[in-house]
Amino acid sequence: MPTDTKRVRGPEASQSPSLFVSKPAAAPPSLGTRADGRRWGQVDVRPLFVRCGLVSQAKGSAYLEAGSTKLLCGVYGPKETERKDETDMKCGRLTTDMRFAPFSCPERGSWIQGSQDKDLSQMLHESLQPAVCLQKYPRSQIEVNVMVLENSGSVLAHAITCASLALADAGIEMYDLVLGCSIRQDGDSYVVDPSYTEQNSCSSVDSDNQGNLTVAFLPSLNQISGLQSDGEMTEETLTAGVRTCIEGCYKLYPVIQQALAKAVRRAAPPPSES
Amino acid sequence: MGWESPPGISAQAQPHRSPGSCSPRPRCSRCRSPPPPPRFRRASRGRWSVWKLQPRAELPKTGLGSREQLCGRRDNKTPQSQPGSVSLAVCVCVCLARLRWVRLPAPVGRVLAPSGTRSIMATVRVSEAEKVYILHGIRDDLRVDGRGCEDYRHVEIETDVVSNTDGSAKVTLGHTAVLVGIKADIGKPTPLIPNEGYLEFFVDCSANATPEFEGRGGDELGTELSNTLYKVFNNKHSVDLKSLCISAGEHCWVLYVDVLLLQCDGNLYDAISIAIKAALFNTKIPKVHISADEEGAKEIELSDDPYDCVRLNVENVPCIVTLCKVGHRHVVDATLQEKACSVASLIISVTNKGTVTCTRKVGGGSLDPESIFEMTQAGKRVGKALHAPLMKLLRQEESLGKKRQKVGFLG
Repeated sequence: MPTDTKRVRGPEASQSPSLFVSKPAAAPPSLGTRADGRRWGQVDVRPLFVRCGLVSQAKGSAYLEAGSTKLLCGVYGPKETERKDETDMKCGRLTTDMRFAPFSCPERGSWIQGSQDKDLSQMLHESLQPAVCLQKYPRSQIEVNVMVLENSGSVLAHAITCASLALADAGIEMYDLVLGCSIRQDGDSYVVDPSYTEQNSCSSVDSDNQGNLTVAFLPSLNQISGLQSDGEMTEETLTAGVRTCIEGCYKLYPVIQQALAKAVRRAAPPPSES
Repeated sequence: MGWESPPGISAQAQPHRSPGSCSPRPRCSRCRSPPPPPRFRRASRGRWSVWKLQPRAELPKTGLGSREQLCGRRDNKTPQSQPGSVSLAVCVCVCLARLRWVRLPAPVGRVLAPSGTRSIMATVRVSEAEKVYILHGIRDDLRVDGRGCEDYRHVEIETDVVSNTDGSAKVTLGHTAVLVGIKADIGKPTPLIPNEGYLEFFVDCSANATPEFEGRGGDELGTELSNTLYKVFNNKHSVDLKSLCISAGEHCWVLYVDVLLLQCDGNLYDAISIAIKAALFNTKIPKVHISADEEGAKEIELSDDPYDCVRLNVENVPCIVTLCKVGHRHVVDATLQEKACSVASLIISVTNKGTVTCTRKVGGGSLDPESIFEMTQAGKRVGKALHAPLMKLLRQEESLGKKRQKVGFLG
């Protein structure tokens, strides 16, 4: 029987030990602070660490860390398209690929891109496309690859931020940066930039308002380029949630700008005084 | 069978209103037949403003000229008489465009690959002139087929169309046709939620709909649609998943929802969600009895009586409303031509109570926050109004029982 000798395979029937861990009772939302010290119902994004140009081979790259969510993004191109059809003659093609490292989540994932990854890639694509001046790159394609090294919640939002930073670092002409922010609505309260446990927590309260919302925002054009929500929310909550996300994006803006300025300064140091 | 006059949907067997009636705008009551004589409708619109040859105020009030007149204009090689002196080529183009409009009220373009967008969807090529025409029409709350901005096309629903399924429905929305079959299978519940069954969605894009879907061409669209469907149903209230549990941690019902796209003419999401709701309503899950013998081994017995079955409660199953941003306004139930004019659309799935279970922006453009709020509001309004007539219709069809007239795929 042919087996994959390169990988150690688990037994046929096995269950993850995480299933048997007794889950801590979900703290009632009104009770002040979250597990990492941030507060409920306030635009409290995790401190962000970003840096450009870590991947030497890529045209542009960015690394982002928010809490323990860690992402690496590389941008290749513009290069000639592989697929030639009529539409590529006028404007360029943006391809996005988002993958989770198998060890990034508490459960081991597979190397093969699942439907969740494909969905996230698609969302990333839809969020980035409005910001890139694709008409300036006829007959060429720009590749954006995002690798999630550690998933600690709000992956899509941070992937969007990271990818737009990498695109800017690659010198691709853009209308604006794209910033991502997500919230988790839980009853009347919400958490901004939820962690993995917060994102998947299911409070026992049988409320109508429960769900995740991710917004991609172009800050200087004041445009929303990506929006995605699931769960169940009333329309008012959704509207309020989008506003909260926009506010969250504005909080990220100076950090990203600074990182970009730093990268430019390093690439072309200002002439010395002498 | 017809769907009688829900607010957003044009009624079925209503005769075409004559243009002289008090109606503010003529409505198309049957989308399959060409809309009411376009001449009247179009005549009120400034056709030439499209080409910016004359300012709108100075338009000839006669409206659309006859064919001879148009051809005459083409022969008459003095386009200089127009204020914005245009070249002959453009003028010929205008004439051709006008001729085309005379002959084809709802122009059907060539099916082509989409422009630069990743989501492959059967798209039509729309010329600049057609685009401007559609845009100006929507600005005036008047669409090419005579609908208002928040009107659906004619919807036809038939349930129980495929006998080998546990529940099935076929929905046609304009020229979009979707077939949904639901099969119930006994499976193992997911270890994280041992006391609930689950739904699996699979969308297949048949190559009959568009040659683009041939081979693996439809895969991308199919994954996109099925991923969205998972999100739409990712909440506690849509379907009572606990009722699908047979024995906790061991056996549960798995509902395989298979969606087949038969024809694509825009607005797939809405058609699919209506079809899924109808098919879930129609789903009959056989009753099972669990017996345990002395050694504790469990046995599942299926009821022999085919009428002894469980029905699902579909009151809270959401419907998707797709709003296309065209110009400064948004339209519900966009045709392919209208979709080609829009940069971005918003998908909202709304339950009968008006709660939103999923939103998503699709398309290559971005939207203003204010217009997103507006669109959410409109989507909620339209979506909420969709449920009551749909449920009424489904119940009505159900009550007919065997007397029901079957239409099938030829209707």
